[in-house]
Amino acid sequence: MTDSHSLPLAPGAVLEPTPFHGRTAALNLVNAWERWQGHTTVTTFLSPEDEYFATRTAASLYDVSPMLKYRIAGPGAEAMLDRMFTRDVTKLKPGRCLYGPWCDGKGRVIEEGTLFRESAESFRLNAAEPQLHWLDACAYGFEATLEEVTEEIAGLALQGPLSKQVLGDLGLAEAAALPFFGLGRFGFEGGEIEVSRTGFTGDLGYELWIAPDRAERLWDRLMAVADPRYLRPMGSRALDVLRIEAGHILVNVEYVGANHALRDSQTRTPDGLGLGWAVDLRKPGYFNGRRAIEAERAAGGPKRRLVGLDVEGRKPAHGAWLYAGRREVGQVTSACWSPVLKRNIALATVEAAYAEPGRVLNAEIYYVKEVTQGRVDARATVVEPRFYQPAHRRG
Amino acid sequence: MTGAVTKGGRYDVAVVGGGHNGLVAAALAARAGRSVVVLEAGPRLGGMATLGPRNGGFDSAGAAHLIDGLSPALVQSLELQRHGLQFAVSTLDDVALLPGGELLVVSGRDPEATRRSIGRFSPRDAERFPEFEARLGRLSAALAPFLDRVPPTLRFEEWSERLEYLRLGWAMRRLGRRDMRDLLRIIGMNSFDLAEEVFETDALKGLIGFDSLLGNRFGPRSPNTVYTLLQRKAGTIAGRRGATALPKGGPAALIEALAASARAAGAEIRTEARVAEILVDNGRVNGLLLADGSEIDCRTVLSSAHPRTTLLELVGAGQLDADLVRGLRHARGEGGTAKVWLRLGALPDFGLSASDLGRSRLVFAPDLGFLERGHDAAKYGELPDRLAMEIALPGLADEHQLGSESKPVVSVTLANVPYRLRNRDDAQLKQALVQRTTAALADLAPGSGETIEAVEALTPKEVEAATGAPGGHWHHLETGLDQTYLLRPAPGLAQYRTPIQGLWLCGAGSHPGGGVTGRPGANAARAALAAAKTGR
Repeated sequence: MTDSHSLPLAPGAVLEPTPFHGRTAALNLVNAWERWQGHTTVTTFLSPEDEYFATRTAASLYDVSPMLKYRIAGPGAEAMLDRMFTRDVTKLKPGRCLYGPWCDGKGRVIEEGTLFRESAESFRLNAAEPQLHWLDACAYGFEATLEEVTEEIAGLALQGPLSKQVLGDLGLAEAAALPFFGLGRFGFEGGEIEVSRTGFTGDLGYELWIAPDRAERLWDRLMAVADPRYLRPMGSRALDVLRIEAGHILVNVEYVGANHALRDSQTRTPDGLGLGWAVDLRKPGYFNGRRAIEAERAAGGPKRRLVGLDVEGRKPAHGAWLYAGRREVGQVTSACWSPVLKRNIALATVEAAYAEPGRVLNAEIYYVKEVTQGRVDARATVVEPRFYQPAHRRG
Repeated sequence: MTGAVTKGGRYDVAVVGGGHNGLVAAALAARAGRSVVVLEAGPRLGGMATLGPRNGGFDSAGAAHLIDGLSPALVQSLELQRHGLQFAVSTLDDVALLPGGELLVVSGRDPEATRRSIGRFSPRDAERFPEFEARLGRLSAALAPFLDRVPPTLRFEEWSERLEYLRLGWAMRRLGRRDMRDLLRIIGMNSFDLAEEVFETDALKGLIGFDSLLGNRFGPRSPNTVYTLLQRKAGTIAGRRGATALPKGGPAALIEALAASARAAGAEIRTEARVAEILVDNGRVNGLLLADGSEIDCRTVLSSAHPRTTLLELVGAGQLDADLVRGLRHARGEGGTAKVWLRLGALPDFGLSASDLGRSRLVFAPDLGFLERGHDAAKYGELPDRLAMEIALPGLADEHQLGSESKPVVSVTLANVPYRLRNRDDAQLKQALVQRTTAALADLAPGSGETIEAVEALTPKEVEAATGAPGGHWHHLETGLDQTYLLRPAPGLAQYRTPIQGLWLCGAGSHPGGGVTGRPGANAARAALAAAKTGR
């Protein structure tokens, strides 16, 4: 008997392993996996708390290989990317990275990410969602070639206050000395490793980029110094707390990319995401969305803004509605208890009139109370979203 | 800037391109008191309309041999008659040619002659034809006012936009329930299905099909060819809606009248003045750089060049949003129409008297299947064995168009022509077009083959090369529903305004499209002048 509604059994694995899979699988004691751009990545190895504290007090390793990577090269690459990014790419020197958003013609953020300038005419863009189609649209009229290099580069985030020492342990003192948002290629194990002083945790840290066939060797060298430095492999659950503390926004969580949004109301301009600082209106060239962003500013700015919230109590305000009196003015997009700050924090989108720091809103928080829903009303004070910015991250 | 830059003069308004739309825009701006310069890259004015051979007795040949929609408001406001515009024939007869020498005549002047002619094929169709013409007339008349208006945007929050939609809605409402339902039903249909619904005479259906696709790369079964038919019928020439007229002196004389009107209002017209770059400073027009290195100092530019040429070449993609650039690149506009001119030693015998021949527009499109099969071939890069065509002998009714050797020139417009002939180059396409046309002429006008003294042809690629319009399409861009009105030339550009402040699109690529109507030029000029007044 056949069931016409059943899915056929897949002929093979649906998700690809990352280049570090052989090593991470052996350490994933609770077998907690999730999908990330077609790959299997670790949710937690055993204890999210331990992984979190390793990052905040020592160091951690997080496999970022599934992040989408694109190489943009050619004599027109700089001009093309300067037209694509809201920041001034002409000021980005070889061996440096920048973080910023890119927008569509209406000034709506498509995504934000890091751009590495590997040489005068070669850049690498890192993104969470596929961008080839948009890059292709942006490349028209410019002398630039595009190539997706996701599968050609394995990535490992080495983050935490001791990450500099860990790099030193590996004989990569030169890489450890990279300036904040610096980038370089270094000799490693008879080959090359690319190191960028970037990360998603808000802490001191690096991202290590290496050919996939040498990924496990890199992992092994790092894990050989794991115990003396309390270097721990980390999963996504701990990372989520770290990035909220750092105030880093996430596409499809804080906003929906302009090219994917079904509803216009779900898209945001850079100003709406607190990325106004990354819009360089002084740069001479035009960039996608410039006219729209200027028009929005002239009209008084976005209707909604991203804010940080300091929430009373200890119930994380996941998805909480926000009220000013009886008026509903926004909603929480990300929330957590911050162990390092001992504060209940959240990222939220609220109506612009209620977005100034110091404004007190009321958060309607629902939580699971064993088998029933609990509800608390908590005071939520609007604050700058960069909750945790330790001085040593730039040190 | 180096000292090498020479001054090209200072004007309120510079018009890129000396085609008819550019001249209309220039004349209107000059009449509004602006100092205006027209910059035409080539040696002659008239753009696509006057393209054609110049020597060998073809002196007055021009691609737009017949005119079917010159805006009457423009004829009046630009005083084109005072500046020399005349029609040798104000309403031509449509004559469908059939293999074997039979003719079907749809006379613009004599309904009784039409009834008799159709009645020879089908008394039923003869009865139905007047009602069909009246029906298309009513529906196209409802659309006609919008050909002279700036399309609205989709910003419904603006009152002026809502008002325009109300106006559009009211025009539909005024049609009455029956016609409104009819319009909504047929506007997205193809002309094949509509003609099949109403008529049984192949020749008549072929004529309807031909008029629905001429200029576009369509077959009668292509979507919304009823809309393109209605748009053609919405034009008014010499006081008659949907008619076709023969300008005295050919398209060159019409262009000369426009140029004279512009000059009389104070516009300066330069030929061989190629614009190399539209200079943009901080998002607004800051002059024009010409190919000779000189600069025109101006803050308003009306460009009648193809929208892609204007925005992607003269301005540059880097000044524009990538999604707008993508929209422009996706706009379809590969030409599907070609011209052949033949100089004959004697009058060809189509079964019409010389005077009737002089006032007729001959169409060879014997049935709808013929047109559709021709389109099928063309869309796969092949040339159909027999081409659908429109034939005129302008010299018979207009001695000015006889040419220097006083021999009749047969002007042929060919439909279903591939932009690129598969595995062949353009010279081979040209040769094949000449061969097919002479063979068709020998067939349709027996004995005329031996009298051919000279032949000239013009392929879409040659139109492209001569005018700089990529694709060499009559309308710059096809005029199907997806590229019309508020979607023309591309979403976000339909109000003639471009993202570059001070730069306006005024050519055939903008609403309502090509044909010698002057409407894109006029609408754009009015929009630009109004914007200058309100400071937007």
